[in-house]
Amino acid sequence: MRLNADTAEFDRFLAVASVYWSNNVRAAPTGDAPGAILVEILHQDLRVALRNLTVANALRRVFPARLIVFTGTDADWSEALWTRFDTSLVRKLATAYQADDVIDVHELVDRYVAAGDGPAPDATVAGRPLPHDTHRPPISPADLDENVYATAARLLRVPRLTDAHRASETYRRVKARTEAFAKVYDRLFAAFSPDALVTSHVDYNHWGLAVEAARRTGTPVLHVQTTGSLKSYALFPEQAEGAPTFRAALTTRIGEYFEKTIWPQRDLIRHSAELVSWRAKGNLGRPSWWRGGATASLDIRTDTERRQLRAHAAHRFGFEPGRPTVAVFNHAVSDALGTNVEHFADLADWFERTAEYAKDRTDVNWLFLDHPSQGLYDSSGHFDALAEQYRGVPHVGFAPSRDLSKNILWSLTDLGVTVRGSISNELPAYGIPTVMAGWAEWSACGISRVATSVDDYWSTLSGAIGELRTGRPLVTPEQRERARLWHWFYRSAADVPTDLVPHWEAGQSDQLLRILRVVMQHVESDGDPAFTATRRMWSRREPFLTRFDLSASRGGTLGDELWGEE
Amino acid sequence: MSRTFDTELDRPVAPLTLPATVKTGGGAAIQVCDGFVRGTGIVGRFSASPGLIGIKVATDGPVRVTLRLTADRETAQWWQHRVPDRVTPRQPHGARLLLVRSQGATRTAVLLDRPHGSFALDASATVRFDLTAEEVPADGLLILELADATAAPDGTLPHAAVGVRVDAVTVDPVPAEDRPAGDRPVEDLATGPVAGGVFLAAPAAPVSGTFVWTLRAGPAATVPADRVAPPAGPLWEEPPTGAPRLRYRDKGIALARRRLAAARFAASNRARRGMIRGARAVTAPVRYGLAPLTVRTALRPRDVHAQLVPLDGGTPRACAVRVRGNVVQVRYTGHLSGPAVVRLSTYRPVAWRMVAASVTRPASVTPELTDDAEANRALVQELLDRPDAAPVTLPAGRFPVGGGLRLADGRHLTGARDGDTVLIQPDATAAPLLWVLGSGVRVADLALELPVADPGKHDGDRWTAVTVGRYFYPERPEWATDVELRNLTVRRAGRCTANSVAVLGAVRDLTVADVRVSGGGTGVAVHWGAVGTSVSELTGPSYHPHRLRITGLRVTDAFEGFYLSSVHDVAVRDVRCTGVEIGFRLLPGDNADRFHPVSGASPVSSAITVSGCTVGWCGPYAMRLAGWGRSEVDGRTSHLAYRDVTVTDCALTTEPALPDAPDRTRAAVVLERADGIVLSAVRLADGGPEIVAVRRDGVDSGPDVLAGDLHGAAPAAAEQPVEGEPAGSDDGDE
Repeated sequence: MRLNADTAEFDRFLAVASVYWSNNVRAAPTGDAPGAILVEILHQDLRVALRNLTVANALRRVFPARLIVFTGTDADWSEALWTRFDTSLVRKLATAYQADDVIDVHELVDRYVAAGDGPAPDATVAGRPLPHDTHRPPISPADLDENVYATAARLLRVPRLTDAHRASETYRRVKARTEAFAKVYDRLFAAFSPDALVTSHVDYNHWGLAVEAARRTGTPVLHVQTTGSLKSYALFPEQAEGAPTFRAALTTRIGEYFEKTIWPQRDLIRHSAELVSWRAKGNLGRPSWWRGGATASLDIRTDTERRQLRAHAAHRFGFEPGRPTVAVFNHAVSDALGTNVEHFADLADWFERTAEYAKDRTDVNWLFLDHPSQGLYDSSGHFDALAEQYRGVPHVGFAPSRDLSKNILWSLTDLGVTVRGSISNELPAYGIPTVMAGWAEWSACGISRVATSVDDYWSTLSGAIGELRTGRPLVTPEQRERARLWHWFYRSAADVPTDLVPHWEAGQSDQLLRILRVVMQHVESDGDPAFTATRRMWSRREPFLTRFDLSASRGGTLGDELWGEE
Repeated sequence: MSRTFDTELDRPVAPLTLPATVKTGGGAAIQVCDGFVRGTGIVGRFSASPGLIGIKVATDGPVRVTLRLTADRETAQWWQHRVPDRVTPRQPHGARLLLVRSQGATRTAVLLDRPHGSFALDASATVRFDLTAEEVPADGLLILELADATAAPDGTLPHAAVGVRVDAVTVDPVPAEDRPAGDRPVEDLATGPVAGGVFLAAPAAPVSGTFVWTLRAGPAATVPADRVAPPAGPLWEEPPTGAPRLRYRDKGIALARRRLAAARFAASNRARRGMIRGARAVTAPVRYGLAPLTVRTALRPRDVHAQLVPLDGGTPRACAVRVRGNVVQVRYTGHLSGPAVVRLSTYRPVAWRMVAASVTRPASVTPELTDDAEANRALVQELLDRPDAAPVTLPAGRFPVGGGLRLADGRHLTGARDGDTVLIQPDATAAPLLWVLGSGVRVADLALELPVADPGKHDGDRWTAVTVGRYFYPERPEWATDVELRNLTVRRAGRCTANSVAVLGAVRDLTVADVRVSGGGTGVAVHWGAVGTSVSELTGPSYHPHRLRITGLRVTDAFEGFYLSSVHDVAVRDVRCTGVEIGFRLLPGDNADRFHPVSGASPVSSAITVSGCTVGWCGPYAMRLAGWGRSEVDGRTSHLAYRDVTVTDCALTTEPALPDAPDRTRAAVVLERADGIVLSAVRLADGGPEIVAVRRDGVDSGPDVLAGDLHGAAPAAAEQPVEGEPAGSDDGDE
């Protein structure tokens, strides 16, 4: 963790937090008594750590449990992502939040790797030795290989691994460490049989293998989100059965919940959904990773305005404005490969093959857009190389998406194509259809066209283009309403405003710490939405925190909580 | 459910009411920005190139848009810091050649250059253009875009709009008394900067005539521009975790260092300027003394050339150059349909200063016509071929004239203002009576009387009263642009298969207004053309007329009102037909798109609007809209969907069939795989039980089918062939 605030302010905050949390969680079990929550603090951002610890402590108001925090970093992660990672800060913070122990899991992995083929190193956590024999089967070699592959691709910042990559020192190091992570987490879970794992990420070796261990041991996973106020998904063991990955199970669960709880209440929610969708046009309430600034707002209101802008946008690419344009949104090519259902070998494979298809599909314009943060995920120049390959093909254009304002991009796009990008819920909310070559959190909510296989992807894409050419609207009013409901659900209902976690946009400076200190000193804790929402989610085994009691509101209370009676 | 981007919370934006001037970027009327940063005290600056703003304006008449642009010191700074490093050479003070685009079209251009002898950018320009009321719809925007001129000569700055400041945007109603610049005999043009031998030729409106630019040369003595300040990073770096935190003193020192660095940079620029000025002062006597020799050497006549480069990507054209001492006169005679630049090259670089610029349209000439048709044809052709492109005004009266008058670039042929001018073609000829083969051509105020003719199937561009373009070109043609046919009357001696007005091939930006046709084949036939000698021997790309406006067409007792085959971007409004066998047709023509340079990449069959048509029809149908066609090259049938095509506000009235008409079922509206056409407000007068209201893909139905938008074909009969194709008519199916 790093500190972008004054250390004295941090110390003052820790002193207050320590008193606050010592009085706001149940007493931890002692001796051999059960009860443990594992919390990950492997991200350097203080806001992420606060969210994880707050959710964990909210659970500790529901049942008594030890709080065990695992943290740390290594040279590869520090080089790839972190600017300053200091585990001593994590220890201080975790202690203030009444953690029972903080382990440097990377340091433990270092010891494993140093031991080589020798006996596994001894370790004690929260006064309990980690067993050498877990009495459970280890992770499958195939799953481990996939994790090694995804982690190495991310750390090397390449879209796919070549033989040269596999022969590199970095790859060998990642492989050895990943194998060690699997063993460490297995021992940790065997030692405590934790009640829950709280984690901000579910991918790569140091996060993903903890989630994998949780799934194999039947431990609920709370996946806290790094955006908004307080957002968290939850996956309970009985809900994950049969799903290939954590994210795939979550997708199914969210789809079921949406269908059962949100869609039937659409009449109550509609005006609020319109409000959120209106705010989204101005880029208000955006997720933390979305781009901001003047180019990110959508200011078009009428079809005439769109058509006018479209003429200018098309001229820039040499496109004929009257012909439909398909926009293909590239992903950060090394980001979390294979962690949900994806039909192509990898994200780059999907992008390359779609470009190949586009070359011969001359009845529409094609615009291939690069991810705004690609520089953090790709050092191989994959997008530029592909753009060069198709230079001179008149109906195919390539551009970094940040070079285009949303106004220009949306005036040009008649069909969006992605694997799992959030444009697949954003575009349909405004009447623009999307085709998905994989799953995302919302892909089971009936918003976009989700391909079921590679063959189905080509067929779906071809069908959508055919319909575009006939001028038929591809997005039904129901799909548009579902997309707007998802906007409302994601940004409003599933985002819990609590004083204990200032909104992400409050930053991570002195100001954040002062706000928290004031809250902990002056606001009484009972009824804090963080506590009530967590209790509700846990007791009902719902897939996310919600600010409303949505499942109980079918009798009509939701309407009162939103706009009341007309 | 609301429209695409609307939500319940969207509120209408209050438009600007005219006249209006926008001087700040904060107003809500600037609704859309792209690559543009709003300012205070100025409208803003472009942060990308191209970039645009969209302003909400309310108008019910034509508007004049005035844009005040400036490139200043900040402009260079923005360019240096925002344009990617891969763009080389880094010349933030370089000349900026920009297209000014609005409502989807290039309106004019602007050249902003550092003034002679100046160390910093300090250039302003005012550009002005007019828009019709239709171009600024109430539910749309006034869009102003600055873009790089990709056809610009080498040496102009890429990403040219970055940093350019918009000081003000003024939108005024166009004064009623204003006439197009081209109507004035002599028009002074604005004298702008000359950057590295390149200057702008951007008339306010398309104009034909003789352009003359007079420039004075001086010794090339480029003053090096000021250096651009490096980007300022954060004032201080946060210390790493564990290191002592920054004290206020540390921050104060960081701030002081920043200010000191800025002051040092400014002082070094000032010192650099002083040194350069000093050196120039010292060397001035020598430079002045050698100036005549320097300039004379640089302007060695055989090495002075000028070329006009249209910025729309057209072919560069040579200009005549005359050198007298240090004064150079550049002359170009022809048509300018859009902005262009003139590039002057010399033996050695010189510094240019524009002294004067003008465009001259010679006085019109009026021939004395006789009763000899061939003599009249030769005389008029001789006048039309004059190098100065003087407008030819024919006298009032009725005169015989032989067919085959050709009108090249910039030619105007009009009738008398004080009476009717009627040209009578005594014998039918394959060559059109008037054949327009260039840009900037105007034909107006004439009545043309022709005998009946019986052309062959692929003679759509022959035997006509007026043809613009060609069906078959011997080689790749230049586009004929800015052609106007206005207030013409075409009278045929009776019904026949010859078209009256034909528009074919490489034709764009054409206006057909107030044309009255009686008799003959199709009143106005619009069709593709291609390089080749016949339909079966096409060797080059196809050309599709576009950006056409047809208004006020009246057709009586002819085979057909009009047809559009294989075209795009066409607006047809206010058409009345009576006694026609067919009202009008929309056809995909070259639907296989096989002759287009890139297969499938053509915009054919898109952006077409037909509105306000009244049709009294006596033949097989009033209107036929077809998305399929059969190639006459290989007989293959193919289909091309329409995009953004609307047929609206049409009244179809059935008239009794002609006495010799074949006995067949008549249908008012025939739709054949007409995917993508929106039909609205099409009214059918009850023609009796024998008239089918709508025949859609071979299936007859009542008028109810026209109640909603029509998209797509009825699947059961999608491949139905067409019955009753009119013989002898060029239907554009091949």
